[in-house]
Amino acid sequence: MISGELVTLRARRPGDEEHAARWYDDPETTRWLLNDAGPYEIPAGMTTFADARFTVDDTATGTPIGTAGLVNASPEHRRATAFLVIGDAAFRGRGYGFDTMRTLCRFAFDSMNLAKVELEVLAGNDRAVALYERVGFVREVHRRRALWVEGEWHDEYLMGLFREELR
Amino acid sequence: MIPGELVGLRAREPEDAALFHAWNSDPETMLWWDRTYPPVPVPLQEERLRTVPSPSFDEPSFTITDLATGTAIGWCGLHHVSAEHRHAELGVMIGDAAYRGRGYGSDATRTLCRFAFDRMNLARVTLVVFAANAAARRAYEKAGFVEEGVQRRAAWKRGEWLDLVHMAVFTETLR
Amino acid sequence: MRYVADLVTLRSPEPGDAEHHARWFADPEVTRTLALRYPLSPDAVAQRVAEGTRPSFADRRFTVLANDTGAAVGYTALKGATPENRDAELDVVLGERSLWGRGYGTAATRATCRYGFDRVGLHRVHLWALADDARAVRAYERAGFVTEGRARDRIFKDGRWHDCLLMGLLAGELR
Repeated sequence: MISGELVTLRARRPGDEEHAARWYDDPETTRWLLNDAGPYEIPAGMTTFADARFTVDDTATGTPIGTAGLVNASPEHRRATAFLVIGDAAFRGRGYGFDTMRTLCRFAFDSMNLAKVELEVLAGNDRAVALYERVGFVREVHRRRALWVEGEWHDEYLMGLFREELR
Repeated sequence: MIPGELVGLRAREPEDAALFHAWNSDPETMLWWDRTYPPVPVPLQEERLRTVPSPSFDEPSFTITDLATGTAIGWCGLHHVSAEHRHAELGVMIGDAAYRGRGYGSDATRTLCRFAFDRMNLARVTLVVFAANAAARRAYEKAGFVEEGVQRRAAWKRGEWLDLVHMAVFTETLR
Repeated sequence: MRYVADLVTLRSPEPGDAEHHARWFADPEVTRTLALRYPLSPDAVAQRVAEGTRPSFADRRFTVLANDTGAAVGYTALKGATPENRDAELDVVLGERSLWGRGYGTAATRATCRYGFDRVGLHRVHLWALADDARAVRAYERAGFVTEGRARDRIFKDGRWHDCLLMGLLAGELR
């Protein structure tokens, strides 16, 4: 278990799928996802360097509110790609996403010994971009017309964060 | 075979294994490739090439030949092809040193991009190049690729952190 | 996944949908216009539904829910698209016969095509309708489909041959 100030990141476990189904039923959640959400995967074994995907609990109540993790981790280049979904609408705009991303990055630097965390985000997702910038992420690549979303071409940012940039 | 002006792109064959191995072992060829470990032995490479699928939407990977002689001179392909978002990432290697600096790499790049746009119906082709590889960046720019940003200290190579430049081209800007 | 539109919502198929499907496929009025000939075992229905829970570019299926009650009224699918041609075949099955004639068929057609164009990036959607299934043809026309051709004696069912209409809809033509 990895604790932040508001949230706890823990291994996914059977039973989480039902919460995930509700998150992904919410168009407000899925409109910003870069891929169609398939079934919520519960890894059979332990969380590893190669597959660190968590369920995010509200620490105060123990309610699962979303998912976050690090994928495509490269041990040579010591970077990984982060993702974050606060699926429970009641927990949006209240600092839970911010706390989750900070906690996840702390874990990436302090436990996984990564040098850099990266993420990809739709350019129009202002709230998420602002959140990531508050965490310390920097926009590095601006991919033009990179994604076909809701009948239009959208730009995408690749953002990156080094240990010393984490706030 | 897909003809360009100087090169042809054909399906990879098991017979290419020894050449691929030689190129992937050549420090000069690999100078700007993100490859940490040495290539697999020739017999294993040959076995892999025997089982790779013919070029397809999901795996458009080719051996580059000299159009005039048919000699295999390199490899090129598209990765991370997205059907929904209609983009892919390009990689081109001219393995035969005799064909470097003579326009074969540029022609292979252009031929593969045209293939991506005209046959695969993709909208965007991207590539990632080491920021320090000035010659490649110039060549890609000449082909119509535009730089979209710098991925900072993204690769650990030869004992130092290197930046990567991301570039992209659309069908209407390919030259 | 839920895709909310006028009158109906498309949601990803779930194993529990097998129950409705079995009921719909047991209704001869529903299967009259379908290619289905032989009765399906419960296992076969469950398998068909399970196939739909993993979407791909070439195979997207949806359970159609009525927005007012939340009840499942039928299913739709976009099948057979290749990423190059970006043309899918549309299936619309309104299984809940008690709800026929209330606009759900047109609404489900519109929502599924909108999804295909806006999310999948299709260029075209087509379908085959029985030429004498006037109700369905009218619903498709209301969504913007145009009759592109008539295939004579395309289907043998119920002791006779049936003509089919090929109907097509391009991105931008959806009404």
